[in-house]
Amino acid sequence: MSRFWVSLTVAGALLVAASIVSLATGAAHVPAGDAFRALFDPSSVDATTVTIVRSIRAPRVATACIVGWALALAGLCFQSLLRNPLASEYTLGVSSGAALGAVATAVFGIAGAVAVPTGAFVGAIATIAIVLVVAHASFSFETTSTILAGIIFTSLANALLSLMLTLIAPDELQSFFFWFLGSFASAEWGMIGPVAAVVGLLSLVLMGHAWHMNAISVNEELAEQVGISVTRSKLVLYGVASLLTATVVTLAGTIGFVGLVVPHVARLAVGVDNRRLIPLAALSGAALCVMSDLAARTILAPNELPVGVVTAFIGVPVFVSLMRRRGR
Amino acid sequence: MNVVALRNVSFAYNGARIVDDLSFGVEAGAFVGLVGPNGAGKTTILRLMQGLLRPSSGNVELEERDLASFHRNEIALRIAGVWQRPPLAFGFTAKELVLLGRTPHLGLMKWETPHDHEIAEEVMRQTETLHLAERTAMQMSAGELQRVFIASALAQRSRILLLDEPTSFLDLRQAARLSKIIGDLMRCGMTIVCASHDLALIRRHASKVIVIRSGRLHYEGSPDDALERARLAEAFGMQQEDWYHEE
Repeated sequence: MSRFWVSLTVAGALLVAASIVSLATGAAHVPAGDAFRALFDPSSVDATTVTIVRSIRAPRVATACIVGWALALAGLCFQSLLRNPLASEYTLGVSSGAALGAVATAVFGIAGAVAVPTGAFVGAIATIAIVLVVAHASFSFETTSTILAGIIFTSLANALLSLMLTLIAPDELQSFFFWFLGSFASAEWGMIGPVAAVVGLLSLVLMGHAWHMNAISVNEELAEQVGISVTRSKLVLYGVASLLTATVVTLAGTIGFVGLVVPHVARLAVGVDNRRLIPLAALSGAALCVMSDLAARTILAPNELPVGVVTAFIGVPVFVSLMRRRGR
Repeated sequence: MNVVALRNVSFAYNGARIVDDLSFGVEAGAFVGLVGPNGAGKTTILRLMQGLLRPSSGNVELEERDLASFHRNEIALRIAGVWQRPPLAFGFTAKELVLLGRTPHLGLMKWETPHDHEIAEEVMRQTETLHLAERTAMQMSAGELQRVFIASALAQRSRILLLDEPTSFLDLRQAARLSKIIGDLMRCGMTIVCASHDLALIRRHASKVIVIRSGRLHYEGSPDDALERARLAEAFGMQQEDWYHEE
C-alpha cells in the first residue's frame, strides 16, 4: 500500500475513533457500543440515549467534521495560491472578515435565512480582495507582503468586531462571543445538511483544480506556459477558498490554526501534489476538529472551552516551528 | 513559412520601452539565435513570443494567426519554453516538475496516464535527470534544476522551443549534451529560438542570428555576419581590444 493510502487510512481511522469517543463522552456517559447503536439501530437502546446521541452529540460531531474539512481545504488552497506555507484563511484575515460580515448583518438588523451566510461570504471575499490589493497594487501577489497585509487586516477586523459588539445589548453578548473563538455548541441538523452539500460541492471543484494548484504553486509563469489560464484559475480558487471559509464561519465562528497546520502536516506525509493533499487534508482537518471539540468539552468539564482555544494550543507551537524552519 | 513572427512589436513596462518596434520572422525548422547585451530585452521578446506578455503595440503571429486569438492550451501544444526561474516554494520532485510539462495533453481532470509517465521518463533519460526523479528543487544544483526544466519543456512535445540562456548553469559535459539534444530536435523538424550569451552554441546551430540592442533590432543575418567581432563589439558597446572571446 502506498504512503498516500496508509496516510488516508490513518486519518480516516482517527476520524472514526474520535467521532465514536465524542458520541460516547459528555455529562451523561454513554458506552461506545450504545452510542453506535443509537445511530444505526435506535430501537435497541433507550430513548434518552437516542436523544443525547442523535440530537445533541451527533450534530456536534458532524459540525466539527465539516468545519475541520473545510478549514483544511481553504488553508491548503491559500497556501498553494500564495506559495507560502504560512498562509491560511486565519492568517490572511479571511476568517475575521467573514465573521465581521456575519456580525454586521445581525447588528444592522438585516433579516432573512441567508442574510448571515451572505454577509460572511461578502466579508470573506472583500477581505481577500483588500489584502491582495494592499499587498501589491500591481496584483503580482508578492507572498510575504500578502501575509503581512493579512495580519494587519485581521487586527482591523477584530477591532471592528469588538466595536460592533459594544453596540449589542449586554444580554445578547454571550451569543456573539463565538464569532471570536468558535464553537460547535449551536450545531443543529437543519443547518448541517445544506452546509455539507455546499462544502462537498466546493471540495469537488477544488479536486478538479488540483493540477492547476500544483502548477501555480510551482511558478505562475510555468503554469501559463503549460497551458493553464492562471488568472481564471486563481479567481476560481480564491472564490472557493473564501466560500469555504464563509461557510465555516457561519456554522461555527472563527477557528484558527486548522487551515494553517493541517495542510503542512499532510504535506510532510504525502508530498506536495494537491491531488493527494486535498483528500488527506480534508480528512485530517475533520479528525483534528472532532478531537479538538472533544478536548474542549472534557478538559475542564463540566465547563466548556471555546474550541478555538484548543486549536490555538495545538497550532501555535506548530506555527512557531514552521517559522523557525523558514528562518533557517 | 514563418511559424512565429513579430510585426512592429513594442512593449513598455512602467513607462520604460523594453521592446521597440521590433519585426522579424522565424521559419519552420529554423534555429534563431537572439544575441545582445544584458537588459537588451531578449527575455521579454521570448515572453512576448509565448504570449506570456501582451505587446503594447504591434502583434505576434503564430502560424500566421494573431497569437492573442489562441487559447492558452493551444499555445502550450505548440510552444514550450525553458526559463530562468525564481526559487520554488514547495518541495515538488524533479519527476513532478517534468510531468507538469504534460499538462496541455491531459484530459479534463488532469490525471496523467502511463503514456505521460513514459514520455517523462524518456525526456529525463535524454537530459540525464532520471536519477534525480525523487529529488526536490532544494536538493538539486542550479545546473541539475535547469536540466529538469529542459526535460519539462521537452515533455510538452511542442513544435517550437524557446530557450532563455539554456546553458547558463550547465557544466561542459551537460552543455555539450544539450547541444546534441538541440541537434536531434532540429533533425526532427523542431523550431528553436534561443537567447544566449553562449556564442559557441549559437554558432553551431543557428540558421539566423538576431542582434538586439536596447529593445531594437540591431542586426539580422547569418551567424557568420551577425557574430562578426566588430559588429558584436558595437552591439555590446565595447572596444575591439577588450575582446577575449575565441572566434
